Amino acid sequence: MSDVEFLGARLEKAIIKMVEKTAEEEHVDKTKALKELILLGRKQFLLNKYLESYRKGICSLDKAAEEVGITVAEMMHEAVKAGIQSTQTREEYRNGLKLLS
Amino acid sequence: MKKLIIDSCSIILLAKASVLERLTELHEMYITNAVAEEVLAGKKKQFADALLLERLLNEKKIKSIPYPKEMGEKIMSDYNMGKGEASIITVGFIQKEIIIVTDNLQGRKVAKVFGLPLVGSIECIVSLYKNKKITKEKAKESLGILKKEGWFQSYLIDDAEEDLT
Repeated sequence: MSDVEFLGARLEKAIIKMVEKTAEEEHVDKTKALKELILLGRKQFLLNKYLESYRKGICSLDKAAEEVGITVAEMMHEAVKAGIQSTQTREEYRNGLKLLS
Repeated sequence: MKKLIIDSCSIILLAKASVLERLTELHEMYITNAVAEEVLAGKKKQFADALLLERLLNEKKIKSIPYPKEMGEKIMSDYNMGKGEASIITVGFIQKEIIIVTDNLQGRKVAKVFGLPLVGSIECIVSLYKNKKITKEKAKESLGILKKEGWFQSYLIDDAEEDLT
């Protein structure tokens, strides 16, 4: 049995043009172009969602990386690109130094 | 010599700053299997931090420490953490003398809420200098790398540089 199913969807002309353009640029058929765009879009969607969750302190960085399907190192890179920085304070830094002395 | 348990985020930052191995000369360094898995996932992409951690584990300069899985899973679920971050917090709960090293917002938040001993990568670099494990130039270079990485707010790195006296 095939693991593919038919999905009917109404799309704006601009989106259809985008799919056609991608297919033409990549020399693939429209179905393959659409699948690629959906997969890439889903990854970016998850990345944005979990970067925001990390920024808000809703989840940890490794959890975010796991949900997006990238490594922790890659997630750190994405967090920096999104302008997310450590919220460590001077007081925490001083306390940390004392702990290690 | 203190006992430190370190998360993926700080391993990666300290490896980039090229002081991770030096830190193992100053302190007893521990991770969990869950943290190792997270960092070593970067081996497929030949990330330097992953390759370095693998060597340090093989040379037993960093040791893997067990933790109760059930408690780890509860922390994962309660605080929406990945396996690695939850595992080091779990160890911190059990071993009161161990210091948690993390630069992860969520990990730091939970450690602070429960009053667990907590440090970050910047303090590790400054303490290496203060304990004469690295020169002032090396400490400046490492802090410079962290500044360039953009993970920390600049004023914290500036404060740390001022502490290199």
